[in-house]
Parts: sequence; C-alpha cells; structure tokens
Amino acid sequence: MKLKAIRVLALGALCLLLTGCSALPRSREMENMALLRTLGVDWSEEGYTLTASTGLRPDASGQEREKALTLTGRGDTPEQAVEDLKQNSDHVVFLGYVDQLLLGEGVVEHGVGPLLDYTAQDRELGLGARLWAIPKGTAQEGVESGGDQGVEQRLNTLRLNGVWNRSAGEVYSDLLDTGAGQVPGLALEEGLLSPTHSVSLTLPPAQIE
Amino acid sequence: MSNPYVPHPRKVPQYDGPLTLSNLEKVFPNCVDFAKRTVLLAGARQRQVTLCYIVGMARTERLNDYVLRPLAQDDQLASAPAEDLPGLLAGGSLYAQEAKWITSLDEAAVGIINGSCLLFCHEAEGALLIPVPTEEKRSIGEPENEPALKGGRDSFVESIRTNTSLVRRRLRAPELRVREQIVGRRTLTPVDVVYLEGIADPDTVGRVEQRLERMDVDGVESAGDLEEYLVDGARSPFPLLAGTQRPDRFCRGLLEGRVGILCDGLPMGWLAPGTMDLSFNTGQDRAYHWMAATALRLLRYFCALVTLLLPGLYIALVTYHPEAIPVKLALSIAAAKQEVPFSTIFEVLIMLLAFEVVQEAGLRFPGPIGATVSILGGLVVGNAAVEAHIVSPAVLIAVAIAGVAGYTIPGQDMSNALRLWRFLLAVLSSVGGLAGLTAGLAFLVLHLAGLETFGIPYLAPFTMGGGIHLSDPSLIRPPLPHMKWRSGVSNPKNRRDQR
Repeated sequence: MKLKAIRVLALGALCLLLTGCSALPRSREMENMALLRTLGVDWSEEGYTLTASTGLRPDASGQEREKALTLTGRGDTPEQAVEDLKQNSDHVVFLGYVDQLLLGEGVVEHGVGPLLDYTAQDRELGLGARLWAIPKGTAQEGVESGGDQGVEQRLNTLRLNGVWNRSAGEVYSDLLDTGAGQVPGLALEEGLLSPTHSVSLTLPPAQIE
Repeated sequence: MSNPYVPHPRKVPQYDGPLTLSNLEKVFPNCVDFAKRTVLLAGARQRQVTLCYIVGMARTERLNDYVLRPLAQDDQLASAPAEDLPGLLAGGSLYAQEAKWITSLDEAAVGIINGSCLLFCHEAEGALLIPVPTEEKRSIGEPENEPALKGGRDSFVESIRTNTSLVRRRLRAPELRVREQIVGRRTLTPVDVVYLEGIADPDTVGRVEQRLERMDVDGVESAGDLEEYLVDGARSPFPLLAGTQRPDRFCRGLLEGRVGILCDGLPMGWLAPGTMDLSFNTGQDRAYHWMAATALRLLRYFCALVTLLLPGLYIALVTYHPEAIPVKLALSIAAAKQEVPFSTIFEVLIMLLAFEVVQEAGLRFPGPIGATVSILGGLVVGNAAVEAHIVSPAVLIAVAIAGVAGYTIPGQDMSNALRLWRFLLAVLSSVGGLAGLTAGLAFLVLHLAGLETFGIPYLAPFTMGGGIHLSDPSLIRPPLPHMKWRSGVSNPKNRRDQR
C-alpha cells in the first residue's frame, strides 16, 4: 500500500513536468499587484496602444482612497502591447479584474478580430468584460477622462442605469457566427463619457466560422 | 551489578517460596503502610492468627467489624481442631462477601495491594484472602468534555467498577459481557472488555482481547498508554478508537455491535472499531428532532472542512488565484496588506501558531486565569497585531474562523488531527496554490482510505468496500423509527434493532 502510494505520487510529480513551466502557477503577493479594472485599446499605423486604469484604490487604513493608477503599453500585436504594459509598471500587473474594455476608433476601423482572439485566449483577461466603442476618439482619452478616480465607476454607472451594454464574449460570438456585431457606443462630452449610437463591428470573411 | 539494558524483565512467579508471614514481610520490606496484627481467637492464648493489610488500601471499619470482631467473639474458632480452622474461616465465620484460601505469594501480594487483608493461621500453609477495600473515589459528575442539554448528565469516573455499574444500569441485558485483563507489570491495571453477546462481532472481541494480552508494558497511566497499543495508529494522527466520557454514548456503541473498553484509573471508555463517523456523532444526535440533528451533523462535517481547508484556501486564492476572489474583497485585501511586511504564507503560519499557543496556554493556566488569557490572547493581541500591521485583518479572520470551526467536532482527537493537517495543507498551498491544496487533500483521502481499525476500514461509513453492508446514511440522522438496522460498520451478528 505504501509503495503504491509513493508510486502514484511520483507519477503525479512526473506529470507536472509535462505541463511545461508556464502552466505551473506563480505566486504573487496581492499588495504588489496593480489590479486593473479598465482597459482601453487603440490602433494606429505604429501598432496597438493599451491604456489601463485601476480605478480608486483603498489605502492601508481603509478610510481614504488612493488615486487611480494609469498604465500604458505599445506593441505590434495585442500580446506585445500587454507585455509592454506589464514591463512599464512597478507593480505586478493583473488583468483578471478588467471589467470594462474600451475600443478606440482606430481599432473599430482596423478590426477587432486579433484583439478578441487574444482576450479569448488570455488566462487573465477572458471575455467577461463589458465592451464599449468610442467611434470618434481614442480609448486613451476615454480612460483618462476619469482622472484620478478612473473611468471604471462611470462605465459601471452607465451599465447600472440600464444603458445597453454587451460583454466581449457576446460580441465575439456574434462576430464568429455572422461576421458582424453591435457594440454600445460612447462619446466624450465635456470630459465625460456618455452613451451614443451603437457601433457595428465586422470580421473579415476568412475568420467567420 | 545488573545490566540495565537487558530486555524487559519478566519473572513468573515473581516471588519464590511458599506463602508465609515471613515471606510476605520480605515482599514489603520497610514499607510503612504494610501493617500486621496478631490476634487471639476468642481470647484463647494457644490460638493465634495474624492479619496483614496495607494501610489506606484496606478499610478500617470493615477490618474491625467484619474480620476482627468475629475473630475475637466466635468461641467456635478457639475450640475447633487446628486443621479445621481454615475451613471455618473461609466457610462463613467471618462476615465477608468473599474469602479465599490462597497459597501463592504473588497472589497474596497483589491481593493486599488491591485492598484485601490476609489472615495467617500459624498452623496452616497459606492464608485467607478477604477483600476489605476502601471505596475512596470521585463521585459521578457531569461529562465536562461532552456536555448534554438533553440527556443524561452522568460521566465515567476513575473507578472501573463504578463504570461497569453505570453501563449495567443502562444495559440491563444479561447478554452484557464484562471480561477483565490485567495490563501493566508494575501498575497491574484492570482493563475490561465490554460487549453484548450475540450482537458484537466475536472477531472484533477476539482482536481486542488479543491486543490487550500482547501488551507488555510497565504501566497504564494515561489514555495513550492504551490507545497506542490497541491500534496500529503510530503513522496517523487520526483516532482509531473512539473515546467518550458518556455512559449513554458508550452503551449506544455497544448496542450498535461495537466492543467497549474500560480501564481502571481513566474516566472514559473506548469503542472499537473506532470508525471516522464516531468522531462526528454525539449522543445528542438521537436526543434532538431528526431534522435538527441532521442539520447539526452536516454542520459539523462542513466545519471540519472549514477548519482543515480555510487557511490553505486563503493562501492559494490570495497568492495564486486572485481572479477567484470578488473584486471588492481583493481590493480590500490588497490595501490591508500594503503595510504588512510578511508574505501571506508567513502571516497565516504565524497566526495559526499563535492560535495554538493561546489555546495551549489557556489549557495550562488555572481555570479562572485561563479564560482571561484566552480573551487577552484572542482579542487584545490579535487586534494589536492588526493595528501594528504585523498581520492583515483577513488573515486574522480566516484563522479565527478555522480555529473556532474546529471546536464543533465532538472528537477532540479528530480535531487535533485536522489541526495538524491544516498546517501541512497551508504549506502545500503556498507551494502550488489550488493544485498544491488539491494534491494535499488527495493525499489525505489516500491516507484515510488506507487506515483500518480492528479490521474495519476507517472510512467504512462512507465506503462500500470490504463486503460491508451499510444501514442508514452516515451523513444524516433519519427518524429513529426508520432506523431499523444496526450499522454494518461494526459487523454485528444481529442486524435488526427494532420491529
């Protein structure tokens, strides 16, 4: 019995090696993490630009709040931009709490296929975030419009007030099924994000299932 | 000079020579509590007997009234032929419930130690052993470790005869068998095996008796002296014998077909086989309405999981899987941890250790101070540690919940085992997150599944292997009229326990 148990454990330990090092979990202390809540994505000829914000953060005493932390990253692909974002921060960047995903006009025109492909495959991001588009402006302006408080609370208020909204997963599913999908639109009015007409996104025919 | 490293010495008989007064005096040389008195039978100078006893073990009133008085007043003893004297004394001249003529020096020595007196007739070989023991014992009190709101309030005491009488008063069946063995070469402790003939599995009875026979130790002074020799539990912290202070719970175990063990000097009884469910069931389960009893039993199992897993789960979620924590809680934890200089695993281990220290100190301190120390340790030190940013509040809450949840488990030994394992699971969680925690849990299940108690799988109530026929589900307590079968765990010879 004892020998059998040792064999089972040894086999289990051997199986861990098959996963490759990247599959093994890494420990991170929470106080060192930047827990991002909003991610804005822009595209230009130079590539993707990501602007991320943490929103208001409670301080150690729990009585007051620290101002929002805003990070940026650039890269040819969404993956490279995320890596750059992580490199530019003093904190361990954690994207698992991103609830709001803002798309700038560049991404809307260029196509959201690569971005949604990446978010669908990323372990932290996933497709649970609410997706918003800014048809006339950049996502960076949208994220920075929140100032020290971040824009997450504003977007959350819009959602709770009944403004039509969709998750990245729902939009991605529509895009894969029909090649087109509707996303709620936002416009910057007097420095505040406000709802506007919805935006149509399309996928190239080759990507449609 | 004798070699002190020779194997455990055993000499049978321990004392050589015939049973005479001079030989008995050699057994107890210079012992101040060894007493003898020579008396004249009915005042006849030509006929003397000598009475030997241990002061404090023999009761003075009994010696005077039931032994010395008849010796002094019965004229027949003075006039009878010398060779008839032992027969007369043993046959009823003395007012004793028992009188036995013995010739073994060993038996005589053990007899007077147990509170008998020895009567030597100088013309005859041997002596008359008459039990006149003192009955100094603690009165039957309430079971402190297993209090009952709705049930009997009597508890086992240190006297084994009192304990067997407590069992007899509840189980009046003549089929109740009480077999005794003497364990411990120096302590000569009586250990009783108690079971119901026709219900208990003879195989289990045989195994228990065989284990007791094989015990060759100096003495039995504590519960562990018995438990660790009766079961092969050295490699596991989990209790393989179920101990209880309550006679009603003990009797319920006997009715289920388990075998009971009682030991002189220990105010508790054990039930074998001690399967895992016994550590989670209480005597009160049958006292409450079945719905309440079921809810409470489920709560105990849930709390066992909480006390075992919560510290490890906290470490795994905070350091490896923050995405599994609600956002607001994660932000709060992150904020609270900003000023704490220690890693999460270190924080949790410090608090778990501090909890054990406070608990141990509370046990060792005298009663009134113990409560103060617990409050001081739990509230003041805990609060101060949080304010000084030595630990974060979430860790304090997680450890406190885990600690308190552990006290819902009726079996203290089970609770101790889970406390040990939660340390291990916390360390594994810090190494591999949920994967480490799951691996540790799998190893725990593997370990429990490998345990046996008197030939019965430890997890027997929850497993169907080994040809065991279960009766009622162990996790819930059905209405009593529906529980028509004894649990198959103890392999009873008579399964049906009601119409």
